[in-house]
Amino acid sequence: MEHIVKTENLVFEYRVAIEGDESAIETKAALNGVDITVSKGEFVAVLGHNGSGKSTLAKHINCLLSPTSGGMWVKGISVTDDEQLWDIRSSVGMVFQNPDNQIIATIVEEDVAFGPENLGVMPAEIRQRVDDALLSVGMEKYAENPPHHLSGGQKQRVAIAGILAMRPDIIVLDEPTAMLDPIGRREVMRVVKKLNSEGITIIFITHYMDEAAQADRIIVMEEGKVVMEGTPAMVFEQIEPLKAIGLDVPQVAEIADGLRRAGVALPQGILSVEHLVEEICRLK
Amino acid sequence: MSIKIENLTHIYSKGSPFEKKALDNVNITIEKGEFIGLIGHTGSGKSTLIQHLNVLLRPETGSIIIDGENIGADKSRLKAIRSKVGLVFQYPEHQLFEMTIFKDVAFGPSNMGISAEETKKRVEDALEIVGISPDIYEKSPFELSGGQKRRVAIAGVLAMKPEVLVLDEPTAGLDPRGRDEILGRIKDMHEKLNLTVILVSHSMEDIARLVDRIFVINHGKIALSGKPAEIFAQIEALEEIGLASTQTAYVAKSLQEAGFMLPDGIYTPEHIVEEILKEVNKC
Repeated sequence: MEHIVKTENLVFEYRVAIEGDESAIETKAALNGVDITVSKGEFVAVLGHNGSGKSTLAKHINCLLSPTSGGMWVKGISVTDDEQLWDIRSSVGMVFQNPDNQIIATIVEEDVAFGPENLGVMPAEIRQRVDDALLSVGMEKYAENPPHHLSGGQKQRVAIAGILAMRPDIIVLDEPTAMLDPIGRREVMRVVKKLNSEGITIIFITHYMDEAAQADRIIVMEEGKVVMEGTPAMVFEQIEPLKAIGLDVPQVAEIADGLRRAGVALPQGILSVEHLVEEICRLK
Repeated sequence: MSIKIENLTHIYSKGSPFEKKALDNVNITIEKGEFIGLIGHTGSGKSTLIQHLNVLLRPETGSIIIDGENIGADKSRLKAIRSKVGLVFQYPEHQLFEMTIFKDVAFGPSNMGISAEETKKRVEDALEIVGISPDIYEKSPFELSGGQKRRVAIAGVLAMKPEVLVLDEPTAGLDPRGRDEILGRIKDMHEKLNLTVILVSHSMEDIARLVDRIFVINHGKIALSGKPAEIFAQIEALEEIGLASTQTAYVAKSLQEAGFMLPDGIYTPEHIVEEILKEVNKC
């Protein structure tokens, strides 16, 4: 399958002042040799606790950060090629954690239009893109509303619409549901999955294991490295290693694991309530 | 110290076109030392309710009785009541402002007119229970990690020695490790300081692990109340108001429907594993 994002031994270092000694500078690696590939149209979830390097990796994908060493290619273009920086940025949209920090206009549709306006898109085309984007995230009814009256989930969908209006190939979402309530989280997940089914590549950073379980593939990061990679079923079988690096597993996986440990013969890779219930019923 | 809320109703912007009933005849009794979970989605009225508990909002209709005293009746008593009920807002780390961790935590007690010596002791005690070690007391709170900042902010409230601690979404935005750390510390506070704790959360899993009793609030009304086992068993009722039970509760329900003889009210993975094993081993 065609690779849309690829990294080879990607390293990103930053320098921090050492406390108490003004002249001493220490180098720390936020990414320490990352090799990943993401295929076109894939839905990849990235897990890892705070400080593991996930956000740093995300920021490399649309060239907000530039690698210290190693290689990275987005749509086959090297991110170190300054000439083509804008090609990469217009193909990769980013959605961040706090919806309030991403909305700048006083009217929803104006906010969504901000991106394409800056890309120099023609007015008639902008109108079309804004309408399409709002429809796609289910916010068309709120086009003329002020954003501050919206719920967190609705604001986050407006932020996604703003990205869609730039017609990206890849959307990177950095903990987009962390500040939302259960209804808002579900709304955002539904939109993300819909966009993925329409062919947009999704890179989704989250702490919620139930969200990661819906991805095609999970990448787990720890101390600037990829420590686990595979389908949700494969990754969530590694209950002990996941817990050791401070991550959760979905309760269903935990129940299945508890039963297996007690000697019950259950197959691997159980992630949904239905699947678990079906397997347990077979035992009777 | 018991809390008794009777017929509490609150209407925002009363008499204007934006009038909104945020609380609608709420009745709750909380005993001293209880650990309470308050669940409801955004806009359900839970923040309005907790703002009443330390009289940031005064009861307009109905009453709140804390330790036999009707709060909000006598304005001169507000300060005393507010020092009994500590409120930790959402993202409390946004309220940090001092130059050092120590000074930030000391701000509350110093303002209450407490002696420097007593303040020092309170600050040390509060920081100890939230797990901040003395060697970083003189650091700026802004140099800490998100979870640490939040624990310092909670210490600031603890240093006022409240008898009731109300926490609004204390785990929002934290990673699993930061979340476990905070919840563990809150459990300690409840047990060691014998505090009455009211924990507001969206996370059923968090609530399930900690609390004695749950109130579910919806459209300004108490929709459900009871022990965790009773609440988590009511899957349909929870879903109707846009919430969900724990994944374990769903597994338990499906197994019961498939003819497994499981007891009601299972909501933790450990418990269901035990019960399934009993059933499976019978065969």
